[in-house]
Amino acid sequence: MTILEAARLLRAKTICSAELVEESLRRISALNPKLNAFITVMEESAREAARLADQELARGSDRSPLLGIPIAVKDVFATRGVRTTAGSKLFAEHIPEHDAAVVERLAAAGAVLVGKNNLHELAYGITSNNPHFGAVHNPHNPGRIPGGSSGGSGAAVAAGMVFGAMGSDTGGSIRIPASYCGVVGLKPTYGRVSRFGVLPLAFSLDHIGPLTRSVRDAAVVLSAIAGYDPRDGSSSRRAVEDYDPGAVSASLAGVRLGIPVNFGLDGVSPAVAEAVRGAVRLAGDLGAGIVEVRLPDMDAINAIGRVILLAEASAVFTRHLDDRGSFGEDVFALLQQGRLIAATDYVNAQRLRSLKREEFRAVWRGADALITPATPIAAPGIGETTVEVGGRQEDVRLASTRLVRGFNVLGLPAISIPCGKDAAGLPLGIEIIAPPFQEARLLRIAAVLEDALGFHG
Amino acid sequence: MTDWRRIAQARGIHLSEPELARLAAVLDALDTVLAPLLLEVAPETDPDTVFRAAPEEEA
Repeated sequence: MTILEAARLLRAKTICSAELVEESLRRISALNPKLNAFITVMEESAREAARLADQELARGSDRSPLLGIPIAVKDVFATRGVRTTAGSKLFAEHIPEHDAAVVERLAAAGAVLVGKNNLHELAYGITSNNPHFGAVHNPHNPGRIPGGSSGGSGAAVAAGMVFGAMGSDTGGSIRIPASYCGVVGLKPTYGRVSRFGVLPLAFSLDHIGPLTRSVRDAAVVLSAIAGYDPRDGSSSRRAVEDYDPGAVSASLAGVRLGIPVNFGLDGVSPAVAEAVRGAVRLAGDLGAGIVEVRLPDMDAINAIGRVILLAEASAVFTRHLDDRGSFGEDVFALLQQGRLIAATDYVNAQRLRSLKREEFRAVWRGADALITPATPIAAPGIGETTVEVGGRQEDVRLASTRLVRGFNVLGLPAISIPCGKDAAGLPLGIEIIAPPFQEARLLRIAAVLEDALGFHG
Repeated sequence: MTDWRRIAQARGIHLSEPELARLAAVLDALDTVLAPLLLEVAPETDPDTVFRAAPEEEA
């Protein structure tokens, strides 16, 4: 069931929020021992919030489709009075005194927060194989990773523990778990959603967005959380659009979909290539104009992103960098790499980023949106450090991030939606990318494709 | 090539030889991609960072 379906049933009085929350808690209780998608479950406050939502619904209130809907947030979102660990030993007992802006906005929309999702330590990695809180497992195959860093969020949504979950995305951390878990993951434009109260990893690359079971649900959540926030220095004052893609739409007529000729389909598994080509053909059948486009050097943009990430993350955690025992091996290694980046290298990476952003603007003269695979492979096994992609061995982290990281550097809105399964039954995702602040366009295209593809989380 | 070992020593960063070798390989690879691009950057190109002398609402 999706958020919108549940919202309709709530208003038809077929179900009540208390029942939705009890079912959510029951599934968490049954599945979390196997999936480890939650670090903290908030039974008592969730039940009270559901009771209040039911009272409001009974009075005929309709402040948002999220009213009375059970959701979760990745454990980097500050929650007042509730432990917020960031999946780290450093914050294992940290209890914030305030809510993150997104938590405030979800509460204002009436959503019921049932818990905090497990994640890759400090959101710095893509496996969600957390050394302090245990590995998160993929609901489609518990021997596989869910992706990350928002792995608990992806697993919780895919397993039906919640209707939606919030994630953060610094180099693909929403879209990778969406792809590996077979759900929708939306990374809005940089500045569209407030980062206030979310533990930073790399402040100039961090984005906040939802993981949901449908594109229209992602639009519902974005509508609730988007908007200016003076507490976040990068927050945009641009007006928030109407993100609702509409109930039924079956045409992409007039839309120019760009297929990059130099990025995306090289070096992906045959199953991914076939699924993406199928989705592109389908988009053409739906009336979209399929146009070949050439992107700026995405390998360079990825390298720029990695330098910025290494430097900013090590700056964020400066006071802990000598404390080897506080970190897992992979995160400690990344933090040490960041210490070796020269100030000039970081500043030059930001200068190159500025140039690449300008260079990328030309792409939008020829296309309204782009389509690429979200990840070049389906979910790797837990503990695997390399995977075979296109006949060669590749580091799991670099393979998982290479199609998504660049759009963090450019700050562009991007969404991963399910587009098929491989021979082993593991989900595959495609990524759609739009120009800055064109989330409404992005969501409309994604919704039409989702309807036609018929793969729902 | 940058001598990452000496930089690490100078900064008081204590890493084993295998750790240093892994880090150096990653950083060298990034350097190889970015160094040629920097030759094309004009001096007046500002970095893409956000800094405001005062919060926007005070402007």
